[in-house]
Amino acid sequence: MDDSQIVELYLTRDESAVTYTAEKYGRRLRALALGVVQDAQTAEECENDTYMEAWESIPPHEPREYLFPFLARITRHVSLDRCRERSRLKRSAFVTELSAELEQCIPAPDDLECRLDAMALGEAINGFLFTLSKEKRTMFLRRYWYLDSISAIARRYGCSEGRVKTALFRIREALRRYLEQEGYTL
Amino acid sequence: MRGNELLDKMELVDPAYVEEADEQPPKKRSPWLKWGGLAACLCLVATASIFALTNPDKRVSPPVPDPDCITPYGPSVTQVPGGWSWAHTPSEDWTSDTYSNLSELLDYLRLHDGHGSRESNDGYKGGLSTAHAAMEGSDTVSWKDTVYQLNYDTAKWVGVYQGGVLTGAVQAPADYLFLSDGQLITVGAEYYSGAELDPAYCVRVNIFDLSDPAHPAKLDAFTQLGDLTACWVTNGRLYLLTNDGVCACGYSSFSSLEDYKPQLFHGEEQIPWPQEDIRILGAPSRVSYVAATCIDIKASNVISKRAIYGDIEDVYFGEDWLALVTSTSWENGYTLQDVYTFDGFLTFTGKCDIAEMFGLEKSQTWSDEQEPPRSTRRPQVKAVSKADGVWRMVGEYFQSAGPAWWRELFAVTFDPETGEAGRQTLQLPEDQFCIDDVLWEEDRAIISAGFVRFDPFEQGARLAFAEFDGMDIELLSTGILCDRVTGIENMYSHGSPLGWIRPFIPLETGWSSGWYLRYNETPNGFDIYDLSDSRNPVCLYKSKGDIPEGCRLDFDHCVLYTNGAASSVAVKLITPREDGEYRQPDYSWCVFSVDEEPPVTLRLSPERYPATGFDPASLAPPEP
Repeated sequence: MDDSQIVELYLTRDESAVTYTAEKYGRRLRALALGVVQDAQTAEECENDTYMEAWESIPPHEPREYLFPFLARITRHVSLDRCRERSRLKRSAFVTELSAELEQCIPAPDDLECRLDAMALGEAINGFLFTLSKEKRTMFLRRYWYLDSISAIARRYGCSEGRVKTALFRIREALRRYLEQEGYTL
Repeated sequence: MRGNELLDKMELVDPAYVEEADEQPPKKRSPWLKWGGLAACLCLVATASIFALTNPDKRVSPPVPDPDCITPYGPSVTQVPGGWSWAHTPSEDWTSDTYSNLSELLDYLRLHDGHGSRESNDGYKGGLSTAHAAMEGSDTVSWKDTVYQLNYDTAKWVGVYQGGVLTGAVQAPADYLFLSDGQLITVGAEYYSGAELDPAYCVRVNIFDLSDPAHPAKLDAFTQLGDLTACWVTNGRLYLLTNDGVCACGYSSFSSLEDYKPQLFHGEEQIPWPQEDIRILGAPSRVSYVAATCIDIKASNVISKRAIYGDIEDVYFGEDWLALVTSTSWENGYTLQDVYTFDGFLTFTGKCDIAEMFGLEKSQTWSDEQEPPRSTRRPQVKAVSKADGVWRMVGEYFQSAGPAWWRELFAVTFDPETGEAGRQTLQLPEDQFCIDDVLWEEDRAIISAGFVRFDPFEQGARLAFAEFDGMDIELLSTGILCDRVTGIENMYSHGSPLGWIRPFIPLETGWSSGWYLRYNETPNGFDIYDLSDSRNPVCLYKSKGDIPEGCRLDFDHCVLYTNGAASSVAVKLITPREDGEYRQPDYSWCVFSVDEEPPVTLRLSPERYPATGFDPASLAPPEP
């Protein structure tokens, strides 16, 4: 069943939509959650939460053309929340580590409030990603969107961990410069 | 903006890029791979050979239970005969059920550390949920007309107030305050920077003498490295639990065994942590520990301490007991738990193997490379308590068959001294539920089982009870549906500044005994229940928008008190800024009173009291 048909089931409030979604994308969503929470049971719970949230979100959303990214975004969000709210998952250090890395991209970090609204920030990040080569872009997203470990990225791209670290460091530096040059204040 | 926010905002990335990043890249083969792989293999073989030669007797795999001890689970089984192998009675010198000492564990983990994605040896936080029993410490305590209160802006000092006016300050990092026999105890997390150590998280305990209430005098200090897990004071003793861990894989071997142990300081002097103060639970997959220290506040010395290593998932505690729940992942998809219990002197008192109790087989752990497996049966403990020497637990029993999956409520008891145990399961009307919160009482547990239904979408919490009489258990499901209290562990993820929620607040006085206020999804306020009879619970009052629109109640801080026969509760009211933001809201105290004459109602007093400088216990309840 293609994505458009699955979305149609959601729109008609047909509960089989969840079943078809699980069949088609359950494994990938679970793997994504597992990468974040590192606990099979919690990953399953995140997967189930994803279906629940998708059920609530479609409609009004109609992600016919981007169902997997739509679901994966929910899974990512739910998994990160789980990590933070239940630091017992022993993954809080990992999330902290990723946060610390990304903080290097912020031109002038402050803790008052975000001065850039979500839409503008999305545009800024997408604009920056457009400037990168495909390999660098996907490497960056594997780390900070899919929250992969350095070793997993190195395995994925068949290169050394050192190379991944160096590449990510340079990309972060480039993002910081890009945001500065474009006049974004975060 | 901070890094964690930017990490969240990464979700704004164009879906096309997200899909692109999920495509499998074309395989490359590095010319180094062949020779590097060969060299790595040789190294591995050599290392493994050396390890095998030098450690012939050491355990390299987790123990597997004797299949003869496993009894098949059936729905008709409600009571378990005593003396089963899973209720372990310990010997006096018990230190571990696997490894004989910490060095042996480290030898194993150098080749098997399951550190996952941690790339550095900077040390990592083991990460535990804060203990499920609410921390007993407060943000405000009072002594001889003087109020001591945390400073929320910095958490680096404690204000001293007299008559609502700030008259002084105690310089101490503080997250929790305790009073014990004329002494003020502050417990606070801070960065520690020792002479030979990198800065690290630590918890500082400071003890002050309040002979002159306006000018607390510092008597003593203790520092323990790690994240604060729990702290409580009972009978003049302070219990401090921190958790921490370090990577033990072959790349990060520290030269000294001490680097793998907790660090505790009395003043500036480090207290040694010998092997006899170490306990190892099961077969840990990493060096992660809870460091538990019991301090005699008056004598200002450490009564006992334990470094407890294991894959510890949850911590539960009471006045004179401590229970640690470990969790192990197995190849067949189970995440199975063991519950280890300790007394008030941190002496190991017993172990309950939850898996064996439900007749589940264990097998070898699965590797990161494998696809996460699907589990079919999995009991999970959600709350632990102890009464009259008997341990009580409640939890969820997840089961699946083909595409169907469901949960049952379970409760177990076990007495480590006799080896006796009991178990009961109960099917709730909802196949799918999640225990959101448990309130332990003397002979029962009040359980809120949250559920979600689709089409039409509906969520709520079914009220259930577990009644205990010695080893006997009775589980009761009720027809009462409450609002679901999600995020019981931490409300932050819901974008609210709420902290720990007490879902049921017992009105223990007057003729309302057996009545409870219940948190009702923000922002409505409270419901009132009469739960004096578990078989006939009654909802007396449903919240009718009891608090001003837009406001929130901080259930982390509420104080119950009485005015004659009536009950009142003081709660911190959070009012958003003018732009509706909760980032820097206004806090004030407000008082709810319960009118017990039918029809039962809840009234919010119009008065507001400043959030600082007052002890809410002293606030006057509203006039009837």
